[in-house]
Amino acid sequence: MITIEAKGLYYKALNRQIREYLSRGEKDIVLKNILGQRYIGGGLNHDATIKIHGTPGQDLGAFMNGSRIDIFGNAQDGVGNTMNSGKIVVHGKAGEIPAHSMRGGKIFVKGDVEYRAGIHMKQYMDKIPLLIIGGTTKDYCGEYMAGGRVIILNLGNKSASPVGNSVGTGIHGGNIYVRGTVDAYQLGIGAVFGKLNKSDRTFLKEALAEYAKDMGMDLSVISPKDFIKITKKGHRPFGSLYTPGMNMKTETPFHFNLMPPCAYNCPTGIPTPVFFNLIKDGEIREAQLFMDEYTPFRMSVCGTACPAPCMEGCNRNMLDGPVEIQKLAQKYYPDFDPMVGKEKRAETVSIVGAGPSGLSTAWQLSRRGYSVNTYDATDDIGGKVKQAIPKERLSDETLDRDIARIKSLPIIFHTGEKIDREGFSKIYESSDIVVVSTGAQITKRIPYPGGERILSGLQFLIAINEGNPVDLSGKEIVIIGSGNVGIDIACESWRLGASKVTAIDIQKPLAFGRELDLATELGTEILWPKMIDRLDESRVYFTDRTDMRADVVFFSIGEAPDTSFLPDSVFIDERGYIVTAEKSFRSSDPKIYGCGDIIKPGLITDAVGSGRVAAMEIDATLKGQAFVYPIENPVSRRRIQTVYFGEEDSDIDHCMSCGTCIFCDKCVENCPQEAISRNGETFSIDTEKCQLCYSCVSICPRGAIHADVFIKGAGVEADN
Amino acid sequence: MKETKNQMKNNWKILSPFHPQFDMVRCDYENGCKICVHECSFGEISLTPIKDKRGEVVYRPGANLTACNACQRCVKMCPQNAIHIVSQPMHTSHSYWTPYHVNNIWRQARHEGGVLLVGTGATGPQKRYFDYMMFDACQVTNPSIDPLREPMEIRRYLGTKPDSYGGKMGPQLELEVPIMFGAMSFGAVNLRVHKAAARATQAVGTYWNTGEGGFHKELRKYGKNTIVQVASGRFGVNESYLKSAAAVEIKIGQGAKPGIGGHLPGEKVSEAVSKTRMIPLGSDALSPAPHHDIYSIEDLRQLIFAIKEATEYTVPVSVKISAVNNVAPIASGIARAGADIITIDGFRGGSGATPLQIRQNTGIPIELAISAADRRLTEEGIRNTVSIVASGGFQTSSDILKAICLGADAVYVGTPVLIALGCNACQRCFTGKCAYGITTNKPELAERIDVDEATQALKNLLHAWGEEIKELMGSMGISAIEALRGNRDRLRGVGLNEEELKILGIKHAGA
Repeated sequence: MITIEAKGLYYKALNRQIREYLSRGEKDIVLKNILGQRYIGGGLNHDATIKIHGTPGQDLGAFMNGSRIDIFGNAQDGVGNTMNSGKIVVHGKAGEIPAHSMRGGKIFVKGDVEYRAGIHMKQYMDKIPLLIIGGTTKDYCGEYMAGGRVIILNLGNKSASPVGNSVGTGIHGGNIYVRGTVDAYQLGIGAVFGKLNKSDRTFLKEALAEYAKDMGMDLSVISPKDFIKITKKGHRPFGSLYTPGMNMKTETPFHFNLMPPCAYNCPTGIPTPVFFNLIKDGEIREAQLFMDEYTPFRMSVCGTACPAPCMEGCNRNMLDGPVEIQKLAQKYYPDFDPMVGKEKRAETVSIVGAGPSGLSTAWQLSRRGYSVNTYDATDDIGGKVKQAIPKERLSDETLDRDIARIKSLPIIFHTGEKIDREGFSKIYESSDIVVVSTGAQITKRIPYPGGERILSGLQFLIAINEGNPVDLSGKEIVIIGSGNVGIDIACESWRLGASKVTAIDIQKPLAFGRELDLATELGTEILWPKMIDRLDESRVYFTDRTDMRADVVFFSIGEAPDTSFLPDSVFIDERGYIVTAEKSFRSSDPKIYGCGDIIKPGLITDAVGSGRVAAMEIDATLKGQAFVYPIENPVSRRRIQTVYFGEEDSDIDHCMSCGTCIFCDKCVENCPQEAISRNGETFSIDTEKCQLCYSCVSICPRGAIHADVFIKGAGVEADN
Repeated sequence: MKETKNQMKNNWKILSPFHPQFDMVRCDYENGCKICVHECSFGEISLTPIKDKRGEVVYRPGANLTACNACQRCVKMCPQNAIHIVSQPMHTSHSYWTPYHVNNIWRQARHEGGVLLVGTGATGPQKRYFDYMMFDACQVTNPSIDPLREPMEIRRYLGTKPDSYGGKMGPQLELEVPIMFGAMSFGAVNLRVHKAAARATQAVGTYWNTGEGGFHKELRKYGKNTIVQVASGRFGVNESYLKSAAAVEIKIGQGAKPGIGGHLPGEKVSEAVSKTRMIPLGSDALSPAPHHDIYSIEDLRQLIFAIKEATEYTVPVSVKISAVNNVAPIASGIARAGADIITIDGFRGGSGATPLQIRQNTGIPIELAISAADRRLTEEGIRNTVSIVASGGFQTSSDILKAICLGADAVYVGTPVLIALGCNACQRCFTGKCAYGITTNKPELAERIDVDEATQALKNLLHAWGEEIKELMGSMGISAIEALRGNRDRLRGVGLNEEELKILGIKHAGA
């Protein structure tokens, strides 16, 4: 041990002496009568102890990298400035900026310190510096900390809040532990209160024990619970302070399936590419089960009678014509009965009207385990699909395949029962939910002068199906209304011997699809806009001063619902349809739901979709879950890169799987930076490698990866 | 018609002022070439699938019109010379509301209203005083010296010189050329650039400055040619750091952003940067504006001597300041505070990231600052106690020699080092996406710098400028550059007013 008498010794000489002793191997040095000498212990990297008696000057231990210094007296500003390792114990108070830019080691101060204690402390991995202040500190404690730990003990409880204002301003790493109160207004920018967790408490215990030992104190009364923890709010407290002064792209592309146009057009929402993709993968049964989720009418509607809006919208129309969705629906028809879920629900749902919408609801709810009853006025189930669609178009044999599968479910079918008010009220009492799906049966008529002889087109079709066709040999027919039903009437008219068939409409006819083509091929003339002025026994006269022979005239401008059997609790709108809330199938009576034509007229597929979503809403409501009306975003046509297609042989391979990723890996293989990788069905994009060129977005054949796209409603937005 | 909510986001769409245009006849995409897409680190070029003549799908490059700033990387790398950059002017009728000002307001109006951040140095229209000063040459009255055949000395020594011949001298830096590589931090540039700078300066016999990001372990062997910096953030500063180099520089300020601290955006804080700076990964490294232990000139003296104590007085301590209004008395104070070297960085100095308004509007030209500082120290009789190093916007060897004539002992160059490695000053250093691999820490981009070729390029630059300086000296009849230091008589002003001539301390040509 060496003692240096420092009285009157200039700091340069003193420090030179200290360095000399240390380089000679001296391990213990005592300095006596220190008064203001600076930089004592500065830049030392030895493993020694230095005891200082007196008052050392500025920057004690600056850049220190080892050794232990004890000061028996007060220290000045800059204790441990940019220190890297070692320990400084001040048995007194210290001045400004203790532990400034400290990167390792420990500084313990017995008393108070001044401003900016622990400013800019840093850490890396397990190299964590520690500053413990026995008393209080002033403003800006822990300013811009990037790491490290500061503990303020407030021994003697001299002030309620032992830290000043702007604590931890700009902190982006490390923690400050305060024993005492800290109000929210005292926190600096980006500093928040943190929760003391187990590792905090362990750390505080150990740190306090070491401090107590070095200071010769008993601090057993202090518990880790006494401390408030202050830490960083986020990773980049100033992350939004700067805006790039140049053009910058920031959004990494992301994989996300969008709805293909076939599904978007289909009121039942059938995601055809998903179906086809399963089949292409060899999972035929999965595909068929998947279809059962959407509709029980796969053969009769999808495969036969539907005008196929899916095919109208199919993007393959841009190349060589739509995918043969209807043929493929028939080809992959299931050969098994539908599966019922294992869970048996207690609730009973009664469905009045066993047409396509009612049966669709029944199908969905029965498979989910509910007890389902259906009621229909006719002798069988099927509604207009069975009664009104010409057998030429949809044979009984074909329809019965779907009906058989429906009947295999544990649904109780009440047929031949027309429900009146009283009957309805009984059903209402005995069911948890009632669904009204009686459709629209009352032919709409316009009272043209002389128009009493105009027949109901719907009744004409029903009569044919009942086996009572009208003979129209040699007759010239005029059909008012050129929708799909009007076209059915036209085709049947030709079949029944008509010599001329004309369909008129006041606006562009809504008929589309194969049936329209067939009707036109047979010779049907479609005239629009045409409005009737009056009729006589043999002719019809239009407002444009033309007229034509009209032996038989049919109305085909839609039907109105019969709502007379419903209780007053169900509001009906001025056009006669049941009122439901927007994006809901519930009527004004919470126990009664409506679906199909009785709430809104549409195609058969509209009815099926209506029934399906109504069932989903009922299911959610009965389970107490939130119901969100399914809305999805279609993939834009321009995202489909048709260059990849055209050579396919089989029908099913024509499907381009618009918006639905099939893991073709073109994005992975062609990314110029090799930034995309795939593990099973999960993609990951290395944001370091990704240059945001968005080549993947234009390379994708089907628009399943996106950037710079605002996708409504999906909660996903990428911006330039 | 479907009602759409009015969105203003397209009002602020910045139209890229440039975009690449492709000559599809020359472009080799049909053979699978994707070089341009790969090379553009800013995501301007993307591939689109099309059918070629054989009916196969090939990928054709196209411009996204969103990110180009004419760094010309794609143009240079295209093997078919099929790309050229075309400009897309916003409007030409106004000369007052230029696209620069309009775009800047758009950028600030959208998003969160931030401070505009840019790279490189000030671009304003202020005078380049170097262009208004001409050298003398020897004609008849004194002979010129032939640099090709006679020895020329351009060596400089930086450090405290004694008051009288034979007196005590402080530690010196020995430069074989009066040019050092300026401070560009690890993080602002990557390790390859630092390596090239270290190796080149070692080979030539001068120094490079680490900047405020720390001194990488792999480069410690070049310590004899390294100047380490202690800046307000104290990144990478510890005892061994201080003892590892030939000099220690306290950075008070830099020309690109006088009065505020350094910026390294979180995007550029990679694993290696996090380790060297000891800050969390991906966190912004924003150095404080002042050193929080320097609030007065006395405090500066304290830090200078703290460092001298730690390094046991074996190396010179330099203080770097920005050139500001009262640079002359500030320099005097710094000299008296014990600094061995003063570095003065003019307002044209570069940076990887600096707030735009500070870059453009703060500081004074280096030519005036050097002259003022040199003359004040001389008047006060303390010129020998420090060496003055000038920096900030030097573009040619003649600039360097002019600065020496105005009183600088040597200069730092920063941006020329980057340009020598391929930079074309597209000003996007702060994005961390430098297409030339210079101001980026992304490994795939940094790989674009070959350290050997980069080293050679920097050696070439130093060699070329050294030779040009010798030629200029020779034409003036000077064979030792010492004789030109502060020698204002060999300069004449052309087109400068009385005030400027007075500050520079030079006469007008013809007078």
